[in-house]
Amino acid sequence: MKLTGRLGLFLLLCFSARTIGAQEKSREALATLFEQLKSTDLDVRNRASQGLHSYLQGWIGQDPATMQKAVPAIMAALDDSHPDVRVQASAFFGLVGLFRQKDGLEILRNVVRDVIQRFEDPHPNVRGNLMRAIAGLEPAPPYQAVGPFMKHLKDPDGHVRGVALYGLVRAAPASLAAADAVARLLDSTTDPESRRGLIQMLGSAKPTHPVIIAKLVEQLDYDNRLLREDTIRALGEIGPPAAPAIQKLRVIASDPSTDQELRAQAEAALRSIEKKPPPRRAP
Amino acid sequence: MTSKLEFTITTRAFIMPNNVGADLYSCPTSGGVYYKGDDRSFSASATSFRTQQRVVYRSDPGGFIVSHNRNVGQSRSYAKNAIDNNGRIGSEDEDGVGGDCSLWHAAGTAQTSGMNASKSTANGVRIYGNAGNPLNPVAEPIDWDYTINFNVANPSAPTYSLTVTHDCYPAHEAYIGNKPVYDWTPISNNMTYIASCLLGSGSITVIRSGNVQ
Repeated sequence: MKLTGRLGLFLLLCFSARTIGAQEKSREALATLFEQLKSTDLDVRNRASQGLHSYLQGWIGQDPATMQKAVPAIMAALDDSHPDVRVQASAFFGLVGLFRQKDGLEILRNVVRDVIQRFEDPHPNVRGNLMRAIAGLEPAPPYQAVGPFMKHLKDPDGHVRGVALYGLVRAAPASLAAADAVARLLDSTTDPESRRGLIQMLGSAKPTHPVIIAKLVEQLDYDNRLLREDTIRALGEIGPPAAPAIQKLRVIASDPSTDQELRAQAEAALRSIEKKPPPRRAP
Repeated sequence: MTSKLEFTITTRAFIMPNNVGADLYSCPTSGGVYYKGDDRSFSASATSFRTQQRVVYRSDPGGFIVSHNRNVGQSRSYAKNAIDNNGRIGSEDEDGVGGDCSLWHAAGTAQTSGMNASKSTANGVRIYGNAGNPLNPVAEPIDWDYTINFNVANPSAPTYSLTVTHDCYPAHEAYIGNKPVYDWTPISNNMTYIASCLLGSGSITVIRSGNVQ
């Protein structure tokens, strides 16, 4: 029995050593692939790029503890002067923001502050990916990210502005500053076209904060048909948290002076908010 | 020798399958949404695409861009029940009611303002840019960057050299006139693969050359 126990311990140690060795090799391989992205040989660069992509596909499905082991190599690559290296490194964290929202905070727990600091990267794809990583964290992005998200609402890159807005919407339930920042953008002082762009984003970002919902409902009072249409669609996308819009949507849905398309959209939004199933499809 | 050759260069990004999904960003509680694909293979005369740029370049001494047209295909998303029957999106799924997470769900058109063309540093053009997903503003855009140069030393047999860098998703194709000069087929259409490609992982650079005719 004792012998079996010792043998078991020996095998466990061997296995652990092998695992640690494999992880070490894996980390080294990752650093090597990032380094090879800078090669002047196109074949080497493409192979490294594809290698990193394959690594990422496997990495994103691992448990948080295993994923954490690659984080130092990714952080080092984020400090590289070569933009291609930083873009590919930032994709690792960006994918966490999209597919590992539930345990993202555990995966990135030691580097959240450092990632937020790199929101200032000169490359828009790096900024977008890193902001996406933090914006997606559950239950909400950390409060330290709210200020940087607000700053990047004025980012020169439109896609980055979109991610910053998404981050603020996600931070809004726990941050009045974030909710106010989004609501202010819906103010009548913002031109209707810009508001439409914002409202379309909100439909996807699905804010639940009452301050934002109230500002959205206000948009239904304007004469601008396109603005109303986008707002109705966004409210439908948001679903039950958009309940304060029900009364106005009912008026639109039953108003004979409103065109049929808008009425149908108001009905669809009401079904979504009131959680009613869509009408049965004709056979 | 003065040459006055004109070249029409067409570059496109398109989604090969009938649909891709599910994107849980919209309708997460009912299985996400599926995006309508272009449902085709490579074709010089294709009319379905996510993005298309067509540049007419005149290879006069110095060279200049005669025209530049930018187009995007409409993006359409459908709820899971649209593909439940046969795995495809078809006319039977066009219920005309948006925002309800049932059958056709939403439509939008990407902006073309990020799609650019300029004269390259040699005798040719650079066609580059990006286009986002209007139905998911948090998604990364499709990126591409072509440089196509011409050698017209022998005007009756001009040659080209092409360098392109793009995301590993979606499919890409390029033509000079009707001659295919570049094609790229993604190796997967699943959402993790698509997302990681669009985030900038796995981007590739390819160099090609040949006769224009």
